[in-house]
Amino acid sequence: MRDIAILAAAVPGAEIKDGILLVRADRIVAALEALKKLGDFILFDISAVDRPAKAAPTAAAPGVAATSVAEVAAPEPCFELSYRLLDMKEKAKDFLTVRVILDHEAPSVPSVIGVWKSADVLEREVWDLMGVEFIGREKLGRILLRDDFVGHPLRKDFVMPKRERFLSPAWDRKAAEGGL
Amino acid sequence: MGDFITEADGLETQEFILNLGPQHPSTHGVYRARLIMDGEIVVSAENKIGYLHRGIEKIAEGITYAQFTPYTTRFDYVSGAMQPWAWCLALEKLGNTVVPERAEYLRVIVGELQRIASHLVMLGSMVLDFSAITPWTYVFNAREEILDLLEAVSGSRLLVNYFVNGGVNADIPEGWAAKTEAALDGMLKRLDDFERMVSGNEIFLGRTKGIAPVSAAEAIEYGITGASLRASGVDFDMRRDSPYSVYDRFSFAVPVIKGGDSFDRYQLRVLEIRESVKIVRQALKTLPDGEVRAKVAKVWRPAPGEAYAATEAARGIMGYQVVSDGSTKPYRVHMRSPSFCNIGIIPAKAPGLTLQDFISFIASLDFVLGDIDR
Repeated sequence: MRDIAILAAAVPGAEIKDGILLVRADRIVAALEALKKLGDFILFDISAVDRPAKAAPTAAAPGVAATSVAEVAAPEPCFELSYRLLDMKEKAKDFLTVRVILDHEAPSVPSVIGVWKSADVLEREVWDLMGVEFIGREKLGRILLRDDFVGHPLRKDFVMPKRERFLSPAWDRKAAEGGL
Repeated sequence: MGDFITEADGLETQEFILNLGPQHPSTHGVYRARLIMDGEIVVSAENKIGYLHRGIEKIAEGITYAQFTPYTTRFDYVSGAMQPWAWCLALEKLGNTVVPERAEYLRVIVGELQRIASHLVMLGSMVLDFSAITPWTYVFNAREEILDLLEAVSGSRLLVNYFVNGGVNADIPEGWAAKTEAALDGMLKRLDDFERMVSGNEIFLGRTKGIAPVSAAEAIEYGITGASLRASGVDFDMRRDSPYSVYDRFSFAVPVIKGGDSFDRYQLRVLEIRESVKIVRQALKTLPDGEVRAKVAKVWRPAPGEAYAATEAARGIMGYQVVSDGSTKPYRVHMRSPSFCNIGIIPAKAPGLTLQDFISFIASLDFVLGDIDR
């Protein structure tokens, strides 16, 4: 991977923390555009981590010894959204992570679909399972779950519903009539 | 004859919706494409997935790290043995575990054998989609021998739980190396037979040449990884360019083809099989002695932190993000599965294809639904 300090200098408003580029949520599109302009990057993963009030804190980057809890404790509940980029220019041992911290009440972030089209399915997955809104794009429908599913299951406050029966309405009617 | 009704007679044609799948043999699982068709031509396509979604990321938060390892083989069940690799790498980063050298070599050997088996399935099922049944029997026959080898080291043929946090489950049995060499010879012979039947076949060429060409820029834009990326002319392979495990000790070529059509995606897998054979042979020759598993505590509590690891799996880059809160269970597990990202290009490339070309296109992308839906 190219030197992260040089990359950070090319990205407006980015700061380095534990080998990760931290960007403010409203600047994410500009940040990824700047990285794309540098060339040879692929956006290949977007993932979110839910950190409600008492969550465990984020620690060090891959391969680095974890720092103590107090040092990195997230002061407020948040969602961490990580964009992972693959550097194809230099022989890399690792990936570049660009991270935004989102408000826990109503997490939303501008969509980067205009920068990399690979963001399309990835953003839909994050919305589907984690409920992070992506602004400035059209369809944010369910992608993995059923269309009538309620809630976002990977959130920590999601309560697992009682085991549902995936049967046909006709079967349900029959059961209600005591025919089973 | 002259009595055919044509559009000139005032007859209007109409677009219609066609659901391809989820129960269609050509979709290789429960994939559904919602196609809008104008006669035989696809006007637009939409991916409908999720039929196999098992919520495995959520399941991971409720079980221990070691308990989750067997789950990882369930995503891409066609290349089960190499699926836990990225997961184990992430855990080893998290716990700063040093994997014994012999275990690294065994991982490479078993991983590459699994890659060969997986590519053989792709080749066989692709020609099967074009109604060619005989070549399919050839490659599945070759795959059987490799599955026997995997069974000998792990006890299972399909969902091979061989990789564990800190190494591999067990050492290889006696005589296994010689058996592997023999099986590879047999496999290469069958692959030659297969190629003689398929690669120059006029029907096969007609169904694949020039179908849905994906340019290098498009492949990068849509985040395609793996063999389909290299078939579009992008020279990138994690095994060479971002070497994990001990891949930097072996000499092997990374085949790249410039065209990016269905035939190139097929051809690239054939070339990759031959390169994988080279890697396995070198690894068997230089296999060091020693332990096969590092000492990892039975009740394993990694320090709070986060690790990300990725490998070049059979279908592309398989990545795992593991977040630990210091307990015995992962706080969050996220997996980046190659098939899920690779199908993102289908809606963009499908318009204008005929239905039979669409089948050829999705067959050449080689996705597995367990990997897409997780």
